[in-house]
Amino acid sequence: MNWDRRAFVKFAVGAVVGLNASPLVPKLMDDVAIWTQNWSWVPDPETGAVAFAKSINPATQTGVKARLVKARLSGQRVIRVEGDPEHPLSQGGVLAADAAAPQQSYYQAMRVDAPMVRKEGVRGRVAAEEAVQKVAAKLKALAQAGKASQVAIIADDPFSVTGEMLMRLAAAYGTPNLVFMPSAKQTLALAGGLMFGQGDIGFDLANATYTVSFGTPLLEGFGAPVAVRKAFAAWRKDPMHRATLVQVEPRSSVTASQADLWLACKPGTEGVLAYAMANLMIQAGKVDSAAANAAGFEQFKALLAGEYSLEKASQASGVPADKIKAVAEGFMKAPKAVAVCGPGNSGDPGRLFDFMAVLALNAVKGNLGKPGGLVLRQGVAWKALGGPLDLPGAPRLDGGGKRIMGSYSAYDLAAAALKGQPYPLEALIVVGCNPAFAGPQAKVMRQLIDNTPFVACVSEFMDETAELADVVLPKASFLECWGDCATPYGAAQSFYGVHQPLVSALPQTKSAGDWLLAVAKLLGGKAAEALPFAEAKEALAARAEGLGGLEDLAAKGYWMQEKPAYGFSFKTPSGRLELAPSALGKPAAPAAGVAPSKERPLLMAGIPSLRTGAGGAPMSPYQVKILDEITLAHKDQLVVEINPQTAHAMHLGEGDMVEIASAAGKINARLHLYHGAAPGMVFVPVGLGHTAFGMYLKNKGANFFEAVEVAADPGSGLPQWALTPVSIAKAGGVSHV
Amino acid sequence: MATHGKKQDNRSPADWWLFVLGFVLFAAVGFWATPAILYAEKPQPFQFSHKLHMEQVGEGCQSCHAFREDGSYTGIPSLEKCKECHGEEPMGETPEEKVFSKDYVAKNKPIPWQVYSKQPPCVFFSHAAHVANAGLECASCHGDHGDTEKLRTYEYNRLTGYSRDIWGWSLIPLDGPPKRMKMDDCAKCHRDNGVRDACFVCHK
Amino acid sequence: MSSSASEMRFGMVIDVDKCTGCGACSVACMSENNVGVLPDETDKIRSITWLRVYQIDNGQPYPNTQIAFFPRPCQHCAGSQGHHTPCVSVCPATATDRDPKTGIVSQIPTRCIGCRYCVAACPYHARYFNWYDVPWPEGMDKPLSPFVAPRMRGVVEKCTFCFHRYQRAQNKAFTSGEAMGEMDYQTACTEACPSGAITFGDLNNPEHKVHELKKSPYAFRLLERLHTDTAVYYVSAREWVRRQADNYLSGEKLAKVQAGGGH
Repeated sequence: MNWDRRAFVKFAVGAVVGLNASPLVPKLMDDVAIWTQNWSWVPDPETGAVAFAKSINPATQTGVKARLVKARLSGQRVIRVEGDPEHPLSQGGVLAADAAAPQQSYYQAMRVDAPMVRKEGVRGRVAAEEAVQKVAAKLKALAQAGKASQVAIIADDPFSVTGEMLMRLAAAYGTPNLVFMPSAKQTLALAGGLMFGQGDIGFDLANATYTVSFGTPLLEGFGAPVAVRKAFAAWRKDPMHRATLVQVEPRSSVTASQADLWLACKPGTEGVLAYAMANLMIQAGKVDSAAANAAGFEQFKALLAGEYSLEKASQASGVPADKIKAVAEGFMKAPKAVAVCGPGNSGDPGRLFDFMAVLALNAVKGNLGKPGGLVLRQGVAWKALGGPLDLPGAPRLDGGGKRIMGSYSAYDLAAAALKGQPYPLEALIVVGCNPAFAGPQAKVMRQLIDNTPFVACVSEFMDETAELADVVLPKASFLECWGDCATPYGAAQSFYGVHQPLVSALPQTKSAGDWLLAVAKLLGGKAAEALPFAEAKEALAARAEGLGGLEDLAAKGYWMQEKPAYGFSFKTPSGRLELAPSALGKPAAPAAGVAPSKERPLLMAGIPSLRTGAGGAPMSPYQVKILDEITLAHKDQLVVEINPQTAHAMHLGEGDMVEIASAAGKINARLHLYHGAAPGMVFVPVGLGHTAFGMYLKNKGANFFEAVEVAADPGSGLPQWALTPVSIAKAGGVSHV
Repeated sequence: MATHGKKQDNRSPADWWLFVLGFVLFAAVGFWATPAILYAEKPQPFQFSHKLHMEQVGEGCQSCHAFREDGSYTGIPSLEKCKECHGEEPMGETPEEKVFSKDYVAKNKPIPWQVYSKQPPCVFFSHAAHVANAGLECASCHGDHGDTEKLRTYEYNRLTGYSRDIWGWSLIPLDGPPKRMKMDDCAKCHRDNGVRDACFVCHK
Repeated sequence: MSSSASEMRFGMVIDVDKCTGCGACSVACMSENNVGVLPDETDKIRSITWLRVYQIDNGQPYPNTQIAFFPRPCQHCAGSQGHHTPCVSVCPATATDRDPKTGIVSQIPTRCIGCRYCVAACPYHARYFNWYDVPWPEGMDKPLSPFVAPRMRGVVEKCTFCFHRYQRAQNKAFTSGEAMGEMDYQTACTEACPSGAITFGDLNNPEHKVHELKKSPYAFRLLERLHTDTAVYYVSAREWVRRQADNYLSGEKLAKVQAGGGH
């Protein structure tokens, strides 16, 4: 045969037909189609057996259960943090911060993933031993030089096992300068201490039928927020028998809007209204016998009749007299009425004046120790970690001895140390909090960190404080380590929650307690003796011994006082209710000094929100997603609220970029005209404007605490920043709609 | 066919053998060479005899591939499951088991089995619906896997990355066993059995 | 009966008077459904929030101002009086459909061709387009749930009433032999809500709580006059809240519009 053109064509056609008779073409086309649907860069999470483990989020005090997936190849991980329906306080509910907790634990860019030491100005990862050695060596050298008292420690929670370990460590080491971040628990303990002789008190919200909340964000971050919501939901359960909620505050907040009645008072006059209502009750002859028999009752009665009459209170607060009267009557008539005080809207610990007015109102009502009233708590019967230690003799930097009951103050410590009065600081150790962001006056705290020769911090996140520290020890998240937290603010029952390690997201992290033990061990001597534990879990187990043992606690997740303890007793020197506490002579005067001036005509207050989170605790990326345009506008601009009338009087309009300046500092923001904002005020979201934490959180909005000006509360002497006088001026920059 | 007697101008039908040759050759390429090029093999970590295990266990397939309490399906058992019977010392004499004991049990390392029936991430498959509810036998989809002494070769598609089991081992639409596991195959079976479902019953 | 009757009709009753706008439902939803996070989430046109909590106010001057919150999942429209589920009727790829068994509107991202017709058709802004691939950097992918496939760029996604939870509940029912109860299938947002504002269940089932709750004289749905026959009811005793559920004229009486018949 000839291999000619024709032959070739025959062969080629045969080949083509043959190929097409095979499934090759459709097969390849199908495979190509499948290939186009492969997104190799989209994660394919490995599946596995689902299990649940109980835990508690100490930041929110929510009892949670972690949903674990035990994957065959990649091991166990937490995919969700959900509510624990069996938890008595949170009953299955969670907060945004709880639901986002896994993200926060696993997202490495936000976390401190290894011990870090600053060498010649540059921070680098080092071995754990080296970092601990560095801290211990510094502390040892200072102690040998007789400068132990010039070491200060700032921590988050005095009631946790870490807090107790720190107290022991500080005392054994020889520094009196251990302070915790300011909290409304301090103010309530003071007010209760002065009036009842005991401060472990709570509000029996779940059983109340008439609740008046004086200036505290009851639905936006009060106590354990989920537990408060459960009480709120119970009030709203039966439309026919709705419990009444009255909110007293200047701004139409979430609580004010959800309340049955909102008393829109002038800023700082919440306590005045509480006294006015107490006065109305006394006038009506509706005084409980305990109050009538109180030490200083006549004095109290006269003071109220004179200074807090309906007319005077109405004038001072700007609330119409009939409204005050209506609430006073409702409160009087309701079988189970309670007046509530708590943290302020700016995240401040509250004014002692307000707290005492609220406690007095409750006493006059006679709800002390009754269902739906003010109750004493049983207390948490944990075992002390060891015998008492002698407190160091040096004077406290925060001037604690001068304040009633010697309460601590991180702000005063910083202010005194910066002045060098009575002495400057040589070293600062920050445990589990972020004062460089949350201040309360952020700049002062940053100055303290800058001016202190050696700063170490134990931190879960690479936050503003960690970024400035010389040594950073990575703290494990609550999903990664053993830890505890005690009774939330205002809860009616004593409570103790335990969390346990469920995952090891970042293997180099340890609990704060474990880092402290490592340092104490190297310090040796008294410090090591004060903390005779091999690991922090042992300390926790020792503490939990009084509560049925750690094993059982961990399985259940909590210990709680069975039911609210009804019945009341006074432990004051007189054995009676003190309405004219001897420490003060008369009910503390209302907060003076915070008033607008010509240069700073507006008062600034915070907008508390469970979306933005509180204090220095960062939001997780998912939380950033739920901020809407009235909190964080397009291109990361912070949005502040102002009353339209106030804005127009200052020739400002919706969307204007403004600079808010106080004596302490300034922030830039975008104006939102909101009818619910009190005239003459500007309201700023709290918790935004981080300069750390990476792409999801850095430079989003501005930090409220940059503009906050801290003053001492005239009653308690505690730092107070509910209101800051500010000026507002149009700033450059384009507002983006 | 003979090729003699050809002439230049004579269009002898005898020349058509070239067509046939082309046809046969390239059809062969399509049928046999393509899979050889398109599919690649991946070795299993070590050999495994389902038959041997079936003789030892009490409850058939369910002994190792079981439903969990929440109704989900374990699929390939975890190392813990293996360790319920196997210790660090081999139970038998096979070299495979020595590898298993030494490299996996002793090191507590999960076994990276190649999974024949692994579906894309967007697929939801419920063993509960098919086995517990519809009463299908394991073998009706997975074939006689449980009776085999050796794991068959795992092949995957070089283009798509999926196991050869999914598209089916035959290149013409002949069905298994093991059964083909493409969407069309699922849909066909559902149709044939009168199950009409929404898309997200199988997609997640 | 509505034009698309289904055996079951899963739906919600959301008590606006209990909602405190804390955002727990929204975050629980994102965490449950592997919703992605972009570096800039202030760009709300590109931000994906299956369950978005909207804030409204009554527009009254100080001190009579009030705010309220509307959590808005996908409304799972059935369509009534000759109207269709708006998104399903326009999808050219059959990437979304309404399940006749559960009444849930599905969305299959891998089938979606990204034309965004459904996004435009949805009156509730419940559908979101993936303009970008989600980065999932440095451990962010670790807590992803294996029960919902993460999406790729170029596709639409939306709330599915946590249908994967229905599937899991069904699995359990199949293997245990016990029928699926009301509490066996609950969405992530319902479980998360700390004030119990969301109730979820089968609207057609008299044994489920939602069946009764939706009959409240204060119950209403969003944009009822579009005849979308949604499966999400809201309840509020406040008239100004109910008024904002639809586009009423200023003088118009707020009449309860009975759309959808059967429900």
